[in-house]
Amino acid sequence: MLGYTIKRVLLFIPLLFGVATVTFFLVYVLPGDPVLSMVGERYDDETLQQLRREMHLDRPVYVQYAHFIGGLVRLDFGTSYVTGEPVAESVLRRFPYTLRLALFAMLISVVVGVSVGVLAAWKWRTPIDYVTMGGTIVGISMPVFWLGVLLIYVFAMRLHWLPASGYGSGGLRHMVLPAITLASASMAYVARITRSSVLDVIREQYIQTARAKGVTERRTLFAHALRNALLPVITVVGADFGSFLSGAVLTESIFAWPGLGRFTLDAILKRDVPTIQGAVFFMALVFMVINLLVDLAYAWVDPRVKLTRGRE
Amino acid sequence: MKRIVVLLFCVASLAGCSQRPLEGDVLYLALETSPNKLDPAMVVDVAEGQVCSMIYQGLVRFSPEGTVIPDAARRWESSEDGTRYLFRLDTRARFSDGRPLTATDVTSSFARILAPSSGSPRKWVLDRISGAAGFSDGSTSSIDGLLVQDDSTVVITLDKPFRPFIRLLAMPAAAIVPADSNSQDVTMNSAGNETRPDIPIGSGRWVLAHWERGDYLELVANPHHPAGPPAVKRIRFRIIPEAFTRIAEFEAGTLDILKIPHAELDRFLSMESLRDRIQSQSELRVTYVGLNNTREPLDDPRVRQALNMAVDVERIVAVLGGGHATRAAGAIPPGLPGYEARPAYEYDRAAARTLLSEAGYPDGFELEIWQRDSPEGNRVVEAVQGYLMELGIRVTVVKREWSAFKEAVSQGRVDAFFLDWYADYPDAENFLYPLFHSANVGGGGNRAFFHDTRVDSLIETAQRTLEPSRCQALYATVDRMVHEQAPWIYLYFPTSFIVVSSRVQGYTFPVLYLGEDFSRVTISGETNH
Repeated sequence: MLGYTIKRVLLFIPLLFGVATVTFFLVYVLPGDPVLSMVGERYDDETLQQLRREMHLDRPVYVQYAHFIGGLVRLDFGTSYVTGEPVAESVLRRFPYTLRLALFAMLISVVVGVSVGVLAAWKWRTPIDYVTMGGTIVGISMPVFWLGVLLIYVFAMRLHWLPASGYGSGGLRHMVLPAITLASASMAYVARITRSSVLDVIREQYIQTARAKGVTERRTLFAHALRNALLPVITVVGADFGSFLSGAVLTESIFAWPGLGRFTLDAILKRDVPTIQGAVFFMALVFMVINLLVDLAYAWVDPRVKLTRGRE
Repeated sequence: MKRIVVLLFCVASLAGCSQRPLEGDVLYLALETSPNKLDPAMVVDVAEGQVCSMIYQGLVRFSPEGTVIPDAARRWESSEDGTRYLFRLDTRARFSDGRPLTATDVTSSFARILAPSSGSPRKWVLDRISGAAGFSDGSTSSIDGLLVQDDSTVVITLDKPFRPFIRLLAMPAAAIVPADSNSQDVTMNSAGNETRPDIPIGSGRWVLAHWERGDYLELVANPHHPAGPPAVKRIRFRIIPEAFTRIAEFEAGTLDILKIPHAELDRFLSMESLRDRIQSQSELRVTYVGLNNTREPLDDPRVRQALNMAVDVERIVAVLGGGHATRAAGAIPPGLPGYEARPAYEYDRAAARTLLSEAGYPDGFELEIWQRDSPEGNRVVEAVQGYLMELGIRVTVVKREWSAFKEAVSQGRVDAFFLDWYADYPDAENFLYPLFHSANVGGGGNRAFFHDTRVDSLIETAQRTLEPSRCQALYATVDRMVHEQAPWIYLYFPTSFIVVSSRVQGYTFPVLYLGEDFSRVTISGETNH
């Protein structure tokens, strides 16, 4: 497993290089000029030229690219055009906000999703199954923006139970609404996958055997069926967690959450090239790490899975 | 199952917590965007300007009503020919670390912005000072128009008289920072924070105590300010990008002042409990559809006049704006000297058609109108498109985000565009010169690429005319001349509305966003909506 992990980590290097290159050229061809977002609505060409010179934007694209890759090798993402702060510092300052929200949302998604899925499978073809699965359809199809607004309306504006937005002093209360909003689709999806996966497993021979030897239905379900049903769930959860961590732009905007998603969106709107590059690079790295962890988790959950590299 | 029960219990107990009350001496405000920089040399947007106007002092500042009032300068006088200004500083003025503010701080602050390497986009605020241009391009090493007469007296000389000059000095770019602000030394401000080189310390009513980027900024009173501590102990600016969320915070009682979004105005006005706490202000802002005067067929004034006649702006204002705007028949907003209530282009489709035929376009033409995505833009541009289509003009609406929009429009690559112009300082000159003088085509503000040498010279004359009534007459003349040539489809001057929480007293909705320093605001009692 260690060898496999090391190989996978080494594979990050060409992947990250590829991501960085694509990002660089995408931002380069994007219409809009970074210096224009620094000068307000009244400016003269001289100031633009001076700023371009300072930011090395007057140089040919291959020189800029070489400069960028050179920085990358030293893990130096430069400083933001807009705030003047080192990019790496700003990204790392914003990441904990996103991480907290993502972890909490993931917890909700897994606990509620798996519980509901198992319940639906257990009560297969009963009203409980129909109602919960109907509910998951709502969860999957409800637009995040709408759900967020609805939750704020009910719990902050009408009932005054929870704060409407913001990070506050970091307490759980501020996290409840954004986390539920962020988790809603994932939670519903996890529930559906769990249900169908448990139903698949329940029909396996060894479950029949367990039942035959008189193991209680509940024990069969939790001790025997669920562990085997979890593999597809891990895949879904891993992918969702990756996307939570790379910032949930909508959720963060509605709830004024100072995370990485809004940070990156702002950078894109202001054509803050170094920040965009730094943030995308970081998100790509996070995604790769999560994917690796998911693959490792397979082996941990299911001893039948052997981690090897290359074709079997 | 047990776990589910436990989880549900947790959520229920969380939900059971009631909202914490607001702290009694803290004012809670919202910013729509996160400030990027708080260095006066670099400030360009509203959020940054507003915070800077609270942290820093200029020689003068704007009152909530938009007049120029003393700030770091106790009084000032100007020579009869309007080229020499003498400022006597308030000797009690102190930076937030306790150092006195001296004349050298003033001149070095200005030099800091004008320096060749400053990269400041706001050099234009100070470039009227004698010798500023040479200093800026590096040909001279000092600015001869800036003179320290003694520790508390500054003399500023201009190349030629410039009537609005004193108003420029109230802008954030003319804020005063300590003379050693460019050094990399880390010092402490009175809030006990390290001051960073990119946020110089100031001498304003407030000190930046905490800045969590993307989340909030907190200001505390400057203990060294000669006017003494304001009633409010702290101001917390939360960054809340979504309008809905700001409304929710206000209605939940956790935000003290809310700018009411257009779509919500009727609801707020209909609420008995809020009605008498709503304040309105006619904005120093003009909205328009700019027409690129150099592109065919818009280079023909008859075509541009026809477009003005084809759009029923009265109706747009009444229906889309709820009547809360003044129709524009010029660029100078009501409330500024130079404004004149002249007749606007009358909505007359037949006359518009005749003009188009005369110009050689009886069957209309293709027209692209660019806009950036905004609720106001979406409403208005669609209506304009509808009216123009009725005239046979085939309008395509192109939406771009701000950066791409600004680039294309400033380079003159588009036919027409929906835009507005906010006053940087309350003077008609701030509308006429950037928007219509040919020196400012493109990025300078004249994005219609309007060019008329008579207009140019009249604007220049007005800039150096010191006698108020003559100057005002010149402004009105220029505005009328430009209006006749219809470089834009003139739309309206908006009115905006704010609502103030019941626990806040003494707040006046300022004419300019720079005009309120919250020093007279008091807080008492609980929020009650």
